[in-house]
Amino acid sequence: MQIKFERVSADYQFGPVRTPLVLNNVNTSIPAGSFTAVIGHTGAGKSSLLKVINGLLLPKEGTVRVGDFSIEPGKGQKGLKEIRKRVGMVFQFPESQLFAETVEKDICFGPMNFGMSEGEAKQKARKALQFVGLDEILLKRSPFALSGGQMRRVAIAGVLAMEPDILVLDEPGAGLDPDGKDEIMKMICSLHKEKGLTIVLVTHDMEDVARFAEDVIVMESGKSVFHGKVRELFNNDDLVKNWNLDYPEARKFQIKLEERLGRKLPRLCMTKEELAETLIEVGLV
Amino acid sequence: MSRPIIEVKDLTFRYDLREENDTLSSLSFTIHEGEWIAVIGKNGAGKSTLAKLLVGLLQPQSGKIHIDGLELNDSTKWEIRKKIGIVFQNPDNQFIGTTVQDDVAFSLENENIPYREMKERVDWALKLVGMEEFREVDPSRLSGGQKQRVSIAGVLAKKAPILILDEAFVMLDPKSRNELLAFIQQLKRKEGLTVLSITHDMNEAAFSDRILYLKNGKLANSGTPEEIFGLEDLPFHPPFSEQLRRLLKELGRKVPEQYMSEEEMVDWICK
Amino acid sequence: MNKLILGRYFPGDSLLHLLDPRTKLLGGIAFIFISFLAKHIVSLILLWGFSFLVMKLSGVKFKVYFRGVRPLIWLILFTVTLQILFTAGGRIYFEWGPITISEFGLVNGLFIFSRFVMIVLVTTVITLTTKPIDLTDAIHFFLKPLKPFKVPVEQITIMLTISIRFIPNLFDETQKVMDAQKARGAVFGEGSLFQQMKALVPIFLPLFSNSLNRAEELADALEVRGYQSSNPRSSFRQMHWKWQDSACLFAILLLASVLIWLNSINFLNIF
Repeated sequence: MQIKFERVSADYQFGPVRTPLVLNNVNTSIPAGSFTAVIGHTGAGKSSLLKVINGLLLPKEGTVRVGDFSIEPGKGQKGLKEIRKRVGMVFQFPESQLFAETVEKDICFGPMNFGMSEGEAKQKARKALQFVGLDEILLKRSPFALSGGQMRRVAIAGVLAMEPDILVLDEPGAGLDPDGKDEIMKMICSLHKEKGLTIVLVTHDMEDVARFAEDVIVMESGKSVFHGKVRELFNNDDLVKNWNLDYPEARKFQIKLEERLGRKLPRLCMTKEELAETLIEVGLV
Repeated sequence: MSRPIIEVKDLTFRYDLREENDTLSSLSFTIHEGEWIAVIGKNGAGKSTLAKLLVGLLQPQSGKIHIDGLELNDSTKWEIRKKIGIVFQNPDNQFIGTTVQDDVAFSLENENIPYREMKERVDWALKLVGMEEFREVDPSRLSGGQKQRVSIAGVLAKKAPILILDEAFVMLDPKSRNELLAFIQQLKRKEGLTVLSITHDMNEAAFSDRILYLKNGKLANSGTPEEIFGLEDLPFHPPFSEQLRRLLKELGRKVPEQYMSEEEMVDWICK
Repeated sequence: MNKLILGRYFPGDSLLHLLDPRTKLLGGIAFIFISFLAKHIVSLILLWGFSFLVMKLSGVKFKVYFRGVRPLIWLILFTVTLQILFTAGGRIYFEWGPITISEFGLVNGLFIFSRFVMIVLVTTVITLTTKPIDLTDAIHFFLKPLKPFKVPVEQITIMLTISIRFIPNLFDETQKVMDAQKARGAVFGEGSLFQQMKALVPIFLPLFSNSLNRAEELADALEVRGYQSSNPRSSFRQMHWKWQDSACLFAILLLASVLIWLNSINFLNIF
């Protein structure tokens, strides 16, 4: 399922005050089945971009299209339920949304809100829990009796059980130790490869961008200033410098190496595997 | 070598007596004044309880802790708490004041320090961390990194010689993290602080003079970052140069057996 | 929620902003008492005059105040109507069963209406011109003499301070949790009253659980920073009594005296 942003602008209302635009004329589309990373500085509009996809933030101008559905000013809340069924959203620190008496009930919350019967929802819950790598035993436990890492996985399972077509995640690894983070990223990767979900991932980690994403959107002051292939971005030193972005570790190393060597390697290396291959190819190691 | 400022001997602790294993088991180590020590280990290795034990928030089943020569027990813990400042993980859940300067002053109020002296110390600390312009700002308008800076200012104002970072930068974005780490390094040199950083971030551990590696509650290894980053089994990904070295070795290329820094790696490739 | 003016602080530099919070707290309470003293029509006029004077001196526009009264207007009118219809005295204008509209009822109604509105206006002036933390300081000052009577003054004060500090956080977190549950298909504000209440569980429970976590972490932070409620504490926040404060209290005293004197006069005295 694809996502289209057509001249989308948005702002927030705090009492009598309207904030400056958090999204400013965003015009781009995310193809169905793609894995897109969204990067940019704090306050650039990454979270707002996510929220406008399922109508948590309504556009002031322009239209957001999710598959066959659309969100535009004046339409109000119409059609949002259909969209939210298909767009699974995992916020930062999602474990803070758990509330039910049992893990099972919490995971079933989403599916049942969208009309699934209890029986069906319980089935999906079991599948989702397995997928996130947790044991069935936990289904009858209170979510508050679990460890932080387990709680996070339960929260993600709650979103996966809705069987969305699109999965939107805001720094899903934030606050986790390296192992925990690796596992979550592996999970997201397999959701993309095995189930063909469209993935939109907000992240500050360039390793994740290099390793997992195909496309990348760079946000700056509410605008989408770049949307293209990940390689294209990291190959373009001017762009990276201009938007004050960071390189993946492998690329940084490559730049240092090329400086010392006085010549360039045949291709851009974004991961250690690419770098190793390239070094072997040119006979440096 | 400067004098020992934290001495831990045979420290044993478990949260729940019904549990089978100790969270910390006969742990012993010494930290000298002016050192930056990193404590690393996987989740559950016991590192998260260490900070609380050092300030008497938790009581060990056995073992002794000496801070600056004073043995930690129920009657000395308040005296010891004057010498240690902790920056915890969640920037919000340790920010008590309704404004930046109120928060920095909090520890001083607790020590019943007169107003004039408080004002001086608060001003000095705020200047040191670069937050003087924010003195009257309320915390809801600060970023995570700024809140942690205020927390550090609170430790400085207290004139505590020991700074414990208890996974203090986990919730911050990488940029803020690196800025703060570099800042603390400067601060440590200037003010002669002893820093104990409990972390699972390789970059943070790289700033230390010495790393203590905990496994299952025991001290499995200790050494300089270079020595530790070469170990096979680490609780995080090693620095990139080391990752590359290991990968090349796996692919059957001839690489040196020991850890190389980025500089050394580049040198070696260019030979 | 956004239209409720009572309780919001508007920064400024008017006379009211300048006054010591103790003056405003005392003055506000005194005003409430005094308004119940008024029995003479001239008293009512004086009280209204005082209210308008105070509103003018706060530098905030009148319409802001009246906008603040609006949400409460129905409650006020309801109470006043009940009074008018069910109390009798003096000339009777209309009677039907238990309902009586009389001269006394009408005048009494006017007094009650005035009292209600004036109290809301004056307390709004206080909350608009005084930061919540300053009011807490004032409350602490007045509660202190109760310490020898085992009243937990320090604990009350720090509870107030911390609650104030975290109000913006609560708003933020509520919004975040609402967003997360909406994304999972939760709907708020629709359906029967019971359904609407049930829909709030996925908001309240996470907030409650987060608050418990927060309380634990704060308690640790408080201890490490040396907080002991039983020990004497100095105060970084200072209150300064100015001549304007004395003048203000004197004015209120004067007003009270005039009102009491007017009560003893029979001419134009309604009651």
